[in-house]
Amino acid sequence: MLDAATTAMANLFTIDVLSYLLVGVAVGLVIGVLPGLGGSSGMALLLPFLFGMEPEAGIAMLVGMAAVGGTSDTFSSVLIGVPGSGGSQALILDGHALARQGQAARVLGASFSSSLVGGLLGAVSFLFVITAARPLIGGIGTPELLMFALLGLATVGALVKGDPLFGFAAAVLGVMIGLIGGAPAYPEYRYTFDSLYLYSGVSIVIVTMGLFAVPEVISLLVNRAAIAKTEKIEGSIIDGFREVRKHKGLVIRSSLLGTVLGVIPGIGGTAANWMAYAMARQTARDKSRFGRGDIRGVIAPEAANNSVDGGSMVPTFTLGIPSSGSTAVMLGGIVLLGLTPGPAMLEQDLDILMLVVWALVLANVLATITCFSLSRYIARVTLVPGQLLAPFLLILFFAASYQASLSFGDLLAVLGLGVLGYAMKIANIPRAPAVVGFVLAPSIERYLHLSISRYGADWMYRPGVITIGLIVVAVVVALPMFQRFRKPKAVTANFDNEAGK
Amino acid sequence: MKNRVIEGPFRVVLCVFLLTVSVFYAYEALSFHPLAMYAPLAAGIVATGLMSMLLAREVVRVVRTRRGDTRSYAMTAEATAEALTVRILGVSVLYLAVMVAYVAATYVIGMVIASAVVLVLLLHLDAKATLRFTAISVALVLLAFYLFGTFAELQWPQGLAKIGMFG
Repeated sequence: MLDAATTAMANLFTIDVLSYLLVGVAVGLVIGVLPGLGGSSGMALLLPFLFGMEPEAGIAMLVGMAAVGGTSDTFSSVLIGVPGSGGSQALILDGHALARQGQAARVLGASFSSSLVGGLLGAVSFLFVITAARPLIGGIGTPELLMFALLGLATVGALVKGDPLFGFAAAVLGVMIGLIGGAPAYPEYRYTFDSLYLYSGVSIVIVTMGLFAVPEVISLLVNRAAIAKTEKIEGSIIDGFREVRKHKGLVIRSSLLGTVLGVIPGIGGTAANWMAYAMARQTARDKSRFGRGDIRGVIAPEAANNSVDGGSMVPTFTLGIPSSGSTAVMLGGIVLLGLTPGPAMLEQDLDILMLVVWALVLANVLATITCFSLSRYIARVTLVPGQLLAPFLLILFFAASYQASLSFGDLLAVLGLGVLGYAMKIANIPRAPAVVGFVLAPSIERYLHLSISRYGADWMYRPGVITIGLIVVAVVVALPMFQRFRKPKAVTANFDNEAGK
Repeated sequence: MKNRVIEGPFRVVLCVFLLTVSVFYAYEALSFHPLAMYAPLAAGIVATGLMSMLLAREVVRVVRTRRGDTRSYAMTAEATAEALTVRILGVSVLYLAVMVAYVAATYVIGMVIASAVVLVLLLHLDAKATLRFTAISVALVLLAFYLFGTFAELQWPQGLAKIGMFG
């Protein structure tokens, strides 16, 4: 374990890997600052550049991007009152209220500091979980892996914002797209319509670009948001840091809450954000300032928002179950790098998992330093109107998509999936389950084939399979029923609009 | 008329489309070898079942809403400022058409020139950006194509015209 940790650290501090981490951090910062642009789109943008990249460098870039969105999304939430991501919604209540009272710098300082603590605690939690989980992997065979993949589909389908039935349908739709191309057990090409382009299936880059990036561009063009007027960054950022030190108990509690929620597939940053806010309000003696400008209403959600990242890496890497839209895209990236997410990573790719821990730590520190030192300049980015930004993004997304296989079919596929993605977006049908289904489809088919070949029908009677199967049934049947009695925003994840979550 | 909320009918149309795709998917799976069939067939059948349920439910909701029951779409429309209206759908189709035109232009004249054209169209004519801003933007995008094409060795579609610019 220690060897893997030191190897990972040595790998991280090579020029190549460090450069890609910086690229990821920079993209994550920009994506986080721009209101309305989700982390899934940003993550999708990075995928074409993963082809041929060393796994360490690619992982550093992806983790770097994922880790910092929760820090930089603060700007638009605090300064213009528009959430930079789903994970910073609760911040608006008190953060923007305080900014309007001339305390923007104090809010930003408190937010960055609590984000840093949250991010670091999330990384430590990830380290703790992978250490604790290693002894358990011996009993996991292909039937259990199959069930874990089905559990991933079920949880993501059940827990998305809105309608669970649409969530399940979207997940199955993703599986259908994922099964296009060659079959693993027999040399047959399916749903190719004699098109050479489809023989090798649709690339994850194309699917994520189509379902996430293109719809965001159209939304930016259609919504035509007026140019926002920013609040001035008045006051001292250091005051905010002092506030975090004063409320350190709240920061730690919120971070732990965020980490735990991050581990549960499907919860994500939005729910963690609101739950941490609710917890801060519930445990406060004086609740009168909440909603009108209480710094605790800034500290708690921001700590939870960043600690979610560390927690969400646990199911993504060790079970192959993404916990949010952007980790679903990240899962695709991990596959592109030639790695196989799942329990085997705990044995075979421990140094990669350790690299994730170090990358999370370093990315959070870098993001905090950058935001602290450049906040006055970064804040200006929030003023860029969507309709001026969208044409550049359109070109960027299509040019990036073409790199998937250097075929014109890439552009047609992105266009087709973009239309489908936008239709799903405006019909309020969640898109993240489709990406999860797409990523898991080959694994599901392969594991099912292997399970039947090795164990016949007996694979269904293994204790692990029965246990996970019961959890799947509970998730599919009980969770949607449970959600009907609760406020949607408080308990479900906004997969589609979360930056980095 | 333009502000009429059409989320319900739109969902019905989308469900019909997805149901058709699911049925075709399951039917097509029957023609595969058994070892290549079970996963797509299972996915197609599950999708068909789910989409049938969703379609039935959405149709019921639309009918209820038209009868004045405000528990489904009417409430949704009031609750969110982003409800789908005729106007939003119309504008969306327009921008989707621009994207289709962009891809078509890329097929004919290559990505670099098509990008410059679409940038002028969207920035100057649509977003009403100044000519100076538009010109600088186009120049910067062309520079980005050149830099990525030359130094990162990325390639761009040349189109039928075989215009091999910057990559």
